[in-house]
Parts: sequence; C-alpha cells; structure tokens
Amino acid sequence: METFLQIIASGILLGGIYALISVGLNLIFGVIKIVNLAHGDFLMVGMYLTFFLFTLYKINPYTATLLVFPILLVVGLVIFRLIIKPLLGKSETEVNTILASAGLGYVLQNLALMLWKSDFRAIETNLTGKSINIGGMMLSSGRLWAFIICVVVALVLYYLLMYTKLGAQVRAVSQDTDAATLMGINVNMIYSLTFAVGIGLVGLAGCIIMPIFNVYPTVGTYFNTLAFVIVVLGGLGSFTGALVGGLIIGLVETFAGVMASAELAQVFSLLLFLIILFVKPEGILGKAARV
Amino acid sequence: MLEINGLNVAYGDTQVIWDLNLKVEQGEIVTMLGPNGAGKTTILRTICGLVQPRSGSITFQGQDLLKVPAYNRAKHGIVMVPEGRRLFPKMTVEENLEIAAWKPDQKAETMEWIYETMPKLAERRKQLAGTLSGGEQQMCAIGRGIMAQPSLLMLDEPSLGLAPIIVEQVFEILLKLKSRGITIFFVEQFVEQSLKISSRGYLCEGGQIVLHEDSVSMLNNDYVRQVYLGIA
Ligand SMILES: Nc1ncnc2c1ncn2[C@@H]1O[C@H](COP(=O)(O)OP(=O)(O)OP(=O)(O)O)[C@@H](O)[C@H]1O
Ligand SMILES: [Mg+2]
Repeated sequence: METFLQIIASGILLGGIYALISVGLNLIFGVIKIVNLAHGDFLMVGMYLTFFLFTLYKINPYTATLLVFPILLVVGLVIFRLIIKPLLGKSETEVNTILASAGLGYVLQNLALMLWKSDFRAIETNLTGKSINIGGMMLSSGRLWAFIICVVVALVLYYLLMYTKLGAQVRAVSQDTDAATLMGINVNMIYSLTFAVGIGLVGLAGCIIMPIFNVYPTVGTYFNTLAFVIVVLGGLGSFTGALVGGLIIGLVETFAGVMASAELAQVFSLLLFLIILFVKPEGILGKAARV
Repeated sequence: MLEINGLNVAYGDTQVIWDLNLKVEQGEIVTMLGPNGAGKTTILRTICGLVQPRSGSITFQGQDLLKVPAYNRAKHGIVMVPEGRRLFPKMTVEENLEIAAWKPDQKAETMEWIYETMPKLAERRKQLAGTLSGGEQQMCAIGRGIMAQPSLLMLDEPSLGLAPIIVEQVFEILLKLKSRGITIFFVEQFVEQSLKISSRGYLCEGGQIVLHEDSVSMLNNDYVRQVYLGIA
C-alpha cells in the first residue's frame, strides 16, 4: 500500500513537470494555431543556459528561472517577428510554419552541438540525491521543488488568462481573430506576446528540470515527442489539456517504470496515446476546454 | 461622416467592388440592399479594415481611414456587428460585452442600458455565448458592438436566420440606438422593413451601387418593387 501511494505521488510529481514542459506548446497552438516543432529545442536552450549559469556563476537553477524566463521571452519575440509573422495570414500557413519551426529546431540543435559538443551534462546541486519524507513517502527533493514551481506557474497562468483584461483578449483572439480585431484588439500584438510567453515558459521548464535530467544537444527531440503526446492526449489547444495530459503520462510512466522497466515506460505511454486517439480522437478534454 | 470614393476591392485576381461611392451622414440610418454575392459584406469589411481595397478613399469624420490600422478603427468610432454574429463562443455574455469596452468611464452606464433594452441578455449574462439561441446571440453581438461606444455602428444582416418577431425587436433596437445618437449603416435582406426605418437606401448589385435614393422613393421604385418586393 505504501509503495502504491509512493508511486502515485512520484507519478503526479513527474506529471506536473511534464505539464509545464508542454503548456507553452499548447498555448501557442491554441492561440496562434501554429505547431511549433522547435518547442523541445527551446527547452534544450533553457537547460544549457541553466547549466552554464550554475557551473560558471554558481546560480541556483531555481534562481536562474528569473533570468532564463525573460531571456527566452525576448528570444521568442525575436523569433516570432523574424520567422513566424511573415508566414501568418498567407496561403499554406500551417505547413510553412511547421517546416520553418522544424528547420529552426535543427539550427538550434546543431548550434548546440558545435558550441558544446554532444556530451551529456548534468549539475549537482545541494538537493541532488536528497529526498523528503512526507507521510512515509520518500519524494525526491528536486522533483518536489520542480512540481511546486509548476503548480505556481500553472495557477498564475490560469489567473492571467481567466481574470485579467489581457487574458480575455488572448482568449478572444484564440476564438475569432476577425471579431477580436473589430473589438479593437491588436491580434498581432497578442500573437507575439503569446509566442514569447510560450517560449519563455519552456525555458523556465528547462531550468527546473536541469537538476533532474541530463542536457545534450538533441535532448529536445525526446521532450518534443513527449510534449506532443501530452497535448494531443489532453486536448490540443486547451490550457487544462496540457495539465491533464501531463499528469496521465507522468503516472503511466512511473507505474510502468516500477512494474516493468524504464524503457518500457515510454512504450506504455505511447500505447495509451494510441488507444485514446482511437477512442476519443479529440483528446480527453477535447475542444470543449480551449483557452 | 463617412465618405467612400472610387472604391475598388479584389480578392486575389477577382475584383468584386467596382468604383463605388457612398456616404453616410451623422444621425442617419442608412441601409444597403442587394442580392447574395453582390459585395455588401465586402464593403463593410473594407470600411472596418479587415479587407484592404485596391484603390479608392474612405474618410471618416474628415480623417483618412485607410491610414488607421483595423484594430484602431473601433477607437475612432467605427464598429461593425459582423455577419453571422461572430461572438466569442467560449466566453460568457458578460465577458463578450466587457471585452469591447475600452472607455472605462462609460462602461457601467452602457452595460446597464444594454441589459435594460435587451433583458434576455441580463438573464443570460453568465451563460457561454456559444450556447445562446440565434436571437440571443444577435442581441449579444449588437450589445458587444454598442459597448465599443461607436459613433457609427454597421450591422451586416442582423436579422439573418431570425424569427419574424425577433427581427422586429432587432429593428426596434436600431431605432433606440439612433435616439441614443448612434449613426447606423446596415445591410439587410428584409427590404421593406429596412427602408421603413432608414432615411436613405443603397442598392448594390454586382459590386456596384445601381440605385441610391431616399427610402420613400426607393420603396416606390418600380425596379425595387418588382425584383425585391415581388410586387408587379
Ligand atoms: N474571402 C474571399 N475570398 C474570395 N472571394 C470572396 C471572399 N469573400 C467574398 N468573396 C466573393 O466576393 C463576392 C462578394 O461577396 P460578399 O460576401 O461581399 O457578398 P454579400 O453581398 O455580402 O453576399 P451575401 O448576401 O450572401 O452575404 C462574392 O462573389 C464572393 O464569392
Ligand atoms: Mg454578406
């Protein structure tokens, strides 16, 4: 019984982290209706930034969020302006943005490979290897902190989207761009802001997973697949979809990892992904819960 | 107030509006009639900036409107209630109204007026706009337009798909808006009713204005009577 609770708790922690990794992808898809295939590679950039801030300047990964988030926010603004915006509102926007972002992903991967080689890099903070005992369950300190930050970020994001004027404008744009324009909303401004926040958030995710995962130039490819499975599972374009999808995959992987093996864990989540796609192709929350 | 001169609009290589002139004066209700595909929606969308014209000029209160980005035209006083309502379906009625309000000092008064004039909306204020009936959606769309404090409100077929009794209510609301000081320019299929509340009418066919008269003359025009009113 104790181990069962322990597995559930670990699964939820992992799920929260996965949700944070995916939420930016879904935000960008939900509002701008583009698929950002470079999503995982921005996570990689965030992880490397965190790695070097820690090894060179002794900046704790959690403190690093305060730097990495705004840096990637600005990167997002620039990328939007230079690469995404010129493709919007033309013919074949979907295909072109997929190709452009995939290309951008390769550029980022190869830049990382050139600058930092293909070595796996990890950091050892004062939390590494530590666990906290909560009600008899031993939870990894790094994962617990990561989870707490994910919850805070999710709550802040939810509040901003649902209860502020700017959030209402973002939701309006996601639902009808023409009507939003007629009501005086600058759609392009909302797009660039959303894209920037989406990239900033995945950068922030890079900070908080740096104490848990290794970083290497193609680490984004792994997390990209994961994030896509999560958002499709939870419901494409829906904010809560990323949270639900993240939790499910986190739980499934943890259970499968304990019962079978870590390699099989991913097979299990992909299997579940296929089953849900067959049964409910619009994802668990489907379209009903879009931002 | 609004003046359009020599307007040409095309979608790609297909020109749909030809050398069009049109005027709306302060305080008027003006209607534009015409068959499906005549270009009425295109004209309204061009005035709002959702479509860029190929040539021609649009001035509003003496200002060159084509220099104003589409999202700023509402703040200049030009607001459209689009064809098919186009509410934000996953937002409540109240959120739909609030999002249009950019003048905080007039927000409360305007909302109160809307709820008084359209009590159905007050009842449904917490309901998602996508779940409203067609008539309620149209009221909400008009309400959202009013919240933006327009000096010129344009409506694209506000009675489309509505039961006759609701259509009558919509026309009553237009008259109330006029007495509130809002100038109205609207597109309609209900020729007779539309002309009765308007001072002037334009008839648009094939992307051109083929007839422009005061409402009374238009109602008595042989061509209009034959083709649009079905009276021989
Ligand atoms: N986005 C578009 N791309 C290409 N052609 C368009 C587009 N929108 C409208 N058209 C064409 O322009 C012409 C005018 O269309 P418009 O919608 O302005 O007519 P309308 O008078 O509003 O018709 P209705 O009474 O059916 O609403 C039509 O031939 C239509 O097919
Ligand atoms: Mg039309």
